[in-house]
Amino acid sequence: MLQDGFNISAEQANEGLRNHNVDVFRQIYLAYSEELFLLASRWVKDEHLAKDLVHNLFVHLWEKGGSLTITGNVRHYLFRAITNRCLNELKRRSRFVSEDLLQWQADPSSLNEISDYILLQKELINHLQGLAPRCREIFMMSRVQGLDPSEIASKLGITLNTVYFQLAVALKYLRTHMKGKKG
Amino acid sequence: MSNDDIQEFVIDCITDPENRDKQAALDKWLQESEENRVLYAEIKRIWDIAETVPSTPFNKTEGWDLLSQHITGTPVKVRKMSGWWRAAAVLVPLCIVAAAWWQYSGREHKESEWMNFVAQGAEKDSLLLPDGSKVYAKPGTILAYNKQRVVKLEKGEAFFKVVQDEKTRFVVQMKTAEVTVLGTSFNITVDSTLTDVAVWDGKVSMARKDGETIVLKEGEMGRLDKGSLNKMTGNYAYRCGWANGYLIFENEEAGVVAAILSKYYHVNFTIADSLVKKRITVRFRNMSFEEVQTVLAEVLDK
Repeated sequence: MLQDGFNISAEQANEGLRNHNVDVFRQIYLAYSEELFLLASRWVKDEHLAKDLVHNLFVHLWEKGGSLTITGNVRHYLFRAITNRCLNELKRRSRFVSEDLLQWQADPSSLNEISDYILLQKELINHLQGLAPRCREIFMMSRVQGLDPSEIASKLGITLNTVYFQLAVALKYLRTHMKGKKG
Repeated sequence: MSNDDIQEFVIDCITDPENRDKQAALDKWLQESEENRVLYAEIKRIWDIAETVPSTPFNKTEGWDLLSQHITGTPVKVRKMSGWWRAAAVLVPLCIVAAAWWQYSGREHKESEWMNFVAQGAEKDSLLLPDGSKVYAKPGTILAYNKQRVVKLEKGEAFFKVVQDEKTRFVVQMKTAEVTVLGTSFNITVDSTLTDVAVWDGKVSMARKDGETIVLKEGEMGRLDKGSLNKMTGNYAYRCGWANGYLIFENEEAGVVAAILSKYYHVNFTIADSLVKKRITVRFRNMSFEEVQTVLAEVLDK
């Protein structure tokens, strides 16, 4: 399991929610909202919807805080909550529900794996900021927008070799920076 | 292979999955040791995780602001407006704006009336034309425009970002030349002897006043010099850089690149004599001068 960097116990969270303690609520939001957004984006494949779902989850926590009881790990509780919301929303909209989402429901132990994945992704996003802007742009075009190296080359008016070179620079950087923090 | 070379090799294979030779070499290398397989898995994992990174980063501060509006005081239920009210909420202000606009524009100037514009400021000035097209002009540039997509450029340098309108051509008239487009961006420089038109995107038709016409595409530049109209060789997209922040050089001499960067960043940027003639391909956008220096050093070093 990766390091949280932030830990709030279920008891603290429950008490904060019950008392409508804005500070505790804010801490929870700042600690977990991005991860929840990443997870929701992964399930619903729609960034706007993912953002709304995260917002709604927190509104719900605030409004129903008194009657909710978080047990166990706060992150896992929230991950489950957002996943259920995603699933319901996908069903409501009669959208396609992916295999791994259904599998997750059937087998809650896959949560650890997903949790690792999301935390690693969050870390990667952080480190992207450390890349030179041009290098980051090329990396994002390749990965996020899914463009072929040749498409990137023609779009940016640069050589194919430059694209490969920049991708290598990006990967090398990310690997070196993400390596130290594992385990 | 050194550690760095291995990394390079693996990355090369991952980024080029279509290349069979590379994939074969990769397979062979993976067979060699467990260590190799671990290294490969690590890099591949980063590569795969990056694929599902959202295109716009999540903004916690913004999200919290929105949320705290929602929760301050007693929890407030946001009631959803019914369809009619929602439509009205959008339409009524729109109608008011439209009505005001009609009144205002009717009084202001007639369709064919010319408005004059002289660019001010230290770096650049901008102007929004009645059709929504945007003009960036260097200080001292003089032009006039009307509401029928016609601009008269007297002198100076201006970058035009023209909104698409299939029905009405956008025309820039100069003393000796005329430029016609539908919707594109391009840069025009006019001085006493030369008229240069460099195209950022789309197609532009450039004509001499007495008839001869050339069509310019992305990156191309037409020049009217003492009555002769020519298409210049090379990529001139960088000519638009001062206005749109992109500086693109394709197979350009390093000396030329340095001269343009010096002008753009208002610094004296020099490079070693031995490298002045070296041709480079490089692209910058809204980068600080320090970043540009780093990238350039890297490119020249290769």
